[in-house]
Amino acid sequence: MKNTRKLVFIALMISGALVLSLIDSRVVLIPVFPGIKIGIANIVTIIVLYFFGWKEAMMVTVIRCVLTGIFSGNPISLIFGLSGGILSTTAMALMFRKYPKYFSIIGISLCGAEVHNFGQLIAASFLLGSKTMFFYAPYLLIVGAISGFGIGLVSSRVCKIFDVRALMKIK
Amino acid sequence: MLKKGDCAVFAVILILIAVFGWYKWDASQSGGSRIATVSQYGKVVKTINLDTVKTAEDIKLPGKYDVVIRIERGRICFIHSVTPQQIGVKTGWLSKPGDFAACVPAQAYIKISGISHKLDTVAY
Repeated sequence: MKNTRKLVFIALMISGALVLSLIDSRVVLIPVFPGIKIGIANIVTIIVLYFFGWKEAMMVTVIRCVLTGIFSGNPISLIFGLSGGILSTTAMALMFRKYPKYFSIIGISLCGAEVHNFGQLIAASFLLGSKTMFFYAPYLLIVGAISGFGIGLVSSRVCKIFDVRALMKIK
Repeated sequence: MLKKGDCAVFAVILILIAVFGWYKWDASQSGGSRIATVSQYGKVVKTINLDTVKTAEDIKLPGKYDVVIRIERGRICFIHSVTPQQIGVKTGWLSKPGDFAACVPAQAYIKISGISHKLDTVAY
């Protein structure tokens, strides 16, 4: 990354995402279904995807997941974070790059949230050696739809209000 | 603000909720005896008929997470573990067919399924 301003911005975004995912891990959304999170760190992935590209978004996601795994001292959260994060970033990048005509940021965020959930369910199924984990799927899908919509709404407002590239004088 | 594809995404999500909801609902519909299955590392460790449990019992699972499962008449749960997020323990008691709790770090889960009365009469 030759552009120093861009480097600084990406670094800022990674630290922001890290804080958001640490907050996220402290919030108990539904006590009956522990482990279900809002996914606020996805706002950062979407912003980076919107203003830069899939490479930068993937980098932010992977570094965020690895650091969250290290900070929480939980190897399982690393596996879950990476499986969900990589899949959802790939899905969102595909939609955003290939079909921007058809999908708004809200649709992209929705899809990202659901793909993230499925990535985690698949990882959990592998770890448990059973597809019973998919009993969680209906709840995850409902929560993912609500949170994905909310995150998409916030992200699309942020992307409209702050033109990051102009503000940071990148290129 | 919303575009055409967004509605398609919504539709797909609704269909998936219906499909997986049915999968879950279907599992909860079997009446009769409630059978709890405890599995670890992809293998069944113990199968318990919850309706015939007489005294409460604790099972300790092998591994570094010190997972303990409590079985009482009609219900079962992860009562203790030293896992970081305690998701299995926080899930609480399971008592209905289709109920499910997992302790992913220990690679263990508990599932309750029902066996219909019809099958029982055939067995006897």
